[in-house]
Formats: sequence, structure tokens, C-alpha cells
Amino acid sequence: MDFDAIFEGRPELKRLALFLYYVALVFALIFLYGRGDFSTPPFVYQEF
Amino acid sequence: MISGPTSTLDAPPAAPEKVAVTKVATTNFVSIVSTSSGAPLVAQPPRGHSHLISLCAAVLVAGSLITGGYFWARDIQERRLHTAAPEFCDAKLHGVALIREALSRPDTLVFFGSSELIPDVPMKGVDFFSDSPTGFTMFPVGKAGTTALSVLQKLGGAAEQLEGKKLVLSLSPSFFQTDEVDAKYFEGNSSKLQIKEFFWSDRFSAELKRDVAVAILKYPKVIEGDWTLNFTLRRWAGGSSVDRCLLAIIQPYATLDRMVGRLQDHIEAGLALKGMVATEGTVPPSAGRFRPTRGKVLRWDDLFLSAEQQSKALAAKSRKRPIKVVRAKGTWDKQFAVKMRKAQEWKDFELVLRLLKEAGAKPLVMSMPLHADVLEAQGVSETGRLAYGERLQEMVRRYGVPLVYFKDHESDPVFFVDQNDHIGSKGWWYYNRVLDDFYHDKLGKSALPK
Repeated sequence: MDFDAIFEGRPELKRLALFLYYVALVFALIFLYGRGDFSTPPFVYQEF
Repeated sequence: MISGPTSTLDAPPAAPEKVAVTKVATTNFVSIVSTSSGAPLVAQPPRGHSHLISLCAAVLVAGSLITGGYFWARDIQERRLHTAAPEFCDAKLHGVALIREALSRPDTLVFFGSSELIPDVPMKGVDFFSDSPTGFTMFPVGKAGTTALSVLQKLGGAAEQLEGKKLVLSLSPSFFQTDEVDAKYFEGNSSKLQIKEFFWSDRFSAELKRDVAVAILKYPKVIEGDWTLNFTLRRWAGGSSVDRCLLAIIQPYATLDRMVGRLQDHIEAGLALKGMVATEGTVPPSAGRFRPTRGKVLRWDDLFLSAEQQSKALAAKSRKRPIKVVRAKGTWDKQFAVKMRKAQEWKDFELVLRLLKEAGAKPLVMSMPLHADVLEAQGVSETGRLAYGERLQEMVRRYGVPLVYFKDHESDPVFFVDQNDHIGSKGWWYYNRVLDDFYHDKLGKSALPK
């Protein structure tokens, strides 16, 4: 797909698309690596 | 071919009816667009710059949202901390934000305990003090298998909030009756964030950090998959000048790593509290009866009668295992004393006391009684059982920490709700009375009934 042709003569649209692309990228990274890791090794407690 | 920065003023006018725009050259700095006749039409912003500007704008938006999320999380933590008091969620037990928030409040008494916090029995401390009847609420921290080392990491994660702060440590004697507590207890209660906060805090001595690192490295599963933590612990345990130098080198990265961890923790805690708001006010029917309201004078004697009655009712309903006598009374005293003396838990508990001393906290240690009936069936007499209390007394005295040990209740059939270290309504009445006295600086001034 020729992106240059799509955005030809429409610089605002190109800027918006680039901005949305990077926002999606940043949030994808946050989603992938940003969640708090509270995982612990297996825990077995049988005294109840 | 690279076109120079030719001005559009130099170009001959293009035919207005057919302007075929062609890109003829792009450099890192300048893009020139020309007409079919080869004349430059207009200078466009450089392609690399438009990516950079978009990326910066995206980072700015993400940063603003994260900052907003952080302040939202802080706000909900301040307003809704009490909803987390009866909970056992990860954000509370494995994070640092909620414990710090609880420790920073003058109207909250933080109680570090273990499995005694779990059974729902009438008069359980967290329910009893939930409406702040005498000016404070109890904030229990811990779940099943919370040994001294687990408590240590939770305290270490809140180092800045400990100075001058009253807090309570509740001990389960069963942890002190075995050489090594099941490794899964610490593993299941461990928290990478809390451990990192302890080791990078400047409140503690290098000697304490070295001893704690050695203790934690016995549980390799805890540091699995986190090279920063692994590296930090090994360097602190090593303690040489090379180790110190390496620690200084990674400090900036470790600080960034902790900052990201803290941010995640705040947001997780905020989300957890938001989820709890929906269930707020749902009190077990049995707890409601023993939930004194704010400003009401507590009639401890009446409450004691209710608690005893409740405990007897619970005992009648409970399915306690019949105790099988395996040895004659007093024939296992020596072995019991040796086993208890060698228990790893003493060493870990001493580390907790050292940490609290270095942090300048004002702790109270409470210990449940031993189970006299269970131990007697195993051949441990009253004389043999004295060793636990004596050792405990000697250790807390060295650190100037007050101790409340309910030794007189080791033969009380209704102090516990079962044959493990899980106190019942009567046991909680005693705990609540001591907590109230401790908070109001009246410890030791009021006599407790037998």
C-alpha cells in the first residue's frame, strides 16, 4: 500500500495518522510491559 | 541526487491547469517538491521531523494520562483506604502503596499477622475497629503463612513511614516449633517490589541488608526472572568493596526500575480499591453484632461475656480432630527445646526487630499461646513449653520492645477456633483490648480477665 499516495496533499491527515500510530504504539508497550507484576511462586497452605 | 535549498522565488511559474507534483529529493533535513517542469514548488517539513513530532506528542499524551492516573490512584487511596482493611488482595499484601498509606495515618493501627486474620469469627479485630469506636481503625496486613521474613519485606517496603509509628506484630508460635518453615510460605508471600524498596532504602545499615540478603537468597524462586533483584541481593550478600561498587553502578537503573514499579503499584492499588467500593458495607451478619460504633463507650466486660459465649457456641459446632496421645507427658521436653532453639524463624524474627529499631518504629509484639493439649499429647510438659516464652521474652527485651504473650491461655479450650494458630472470638477480645490499650498508651495499666 502506498501511504505516500494516500496522504499526498493532505499533510494534516498524515500528521494525525502518525500521531495515532505512535499513541497506539506507546499504549501497546504500556499494556504489554506495564501491568503490575504481583505474581509469586506457588503457595500451598492446607491448614484450614 | 540531492537538491539544494533552492528558493521558490527563483523558479519559473508553473502552468496552473496541470501541476504534476513529483518528489525529487529527500535529505535528512530538507524535502523539495517540484513541478513536472522541474521547478521546486514548496518546501515540506522533513519526513524524519514529522515522525519525531508525532512520537513526542504521543509520549506527551501517554505521560499526561499516566500522571493523571497516578493522581487519581493517590486520591482514591487517601479516601478509600479503609475499604482495603478486611481484604487480602495482591495490591495490599504485595504492593507498598497501601501499607505506606496506612502507616502514614495517625488514626490507623497497622497489624502484621498471619492466618489468624482469615477465619471469619465474631469480634475479629478488623471488624471490631472498623467504625473507629475509640478513635482508630485496625489495618491488618498478612495472610496464611506470613512468616517473619514476609513481615520484614512488608516493613522494609515502607521504611520512610516507620519512624515513630506504632504498629503491632502478631506471632504464630507454630512457626517457631520447626527447624525450617515450609519454603512455600515465604515464596507465596514474597514481593519483588517490597524487597527492592528495602534494599534501596537509605534508612537501613549495610549489615542488616547483608543479613537479610543472605536470608532471602535461601529462596531462589523468589528472585527468579528478575535480574535486577537477583543482582542486588547477591551484591548485598557479598558485601565486598567490589560488590558495593557494582551496586553504585546499577543504582540509577534500579531507581528507574523502582519508580516504574511504584507507579504500577499505585495504579493497581487504585483499581483494586475502586473494585472494593462496590462491596463496601457488606459486613458478615455475625460481625455486625460485634461492631461497635464511633463515639460509643466500650463496655469491655459485657463484650467479654459475649465473646466467651460466641466462642463456646463456635467450639460446640467445630469439628476439632480428636487428639491422639503419642508420648507420655514430659518425655519429649528436651527434643522440643532443641527443635525450637534451632528454628530459623527466631533468626528471621530478630531481623525484623533489628529493622524496626533502625527505622525508629514503636512496635508491640503479641504472641498467641501454645496449644497445651496438642503438645502434651506429643509428650511436651508445661516445663518444656516454658522455653518458648522465655526465649521470646529475652529477644524482645534486648530490643526494648513490649511483649504481650497470652501464656495463661494455653489450656483455654475456647481461646482458639481450631487446633492451629487461629484465634476465636474470645482470643480476639483479648487482642482487641490490648490493641486499644496500646494505641491509647494504656498498655499494662488495665488488668485483663483470665
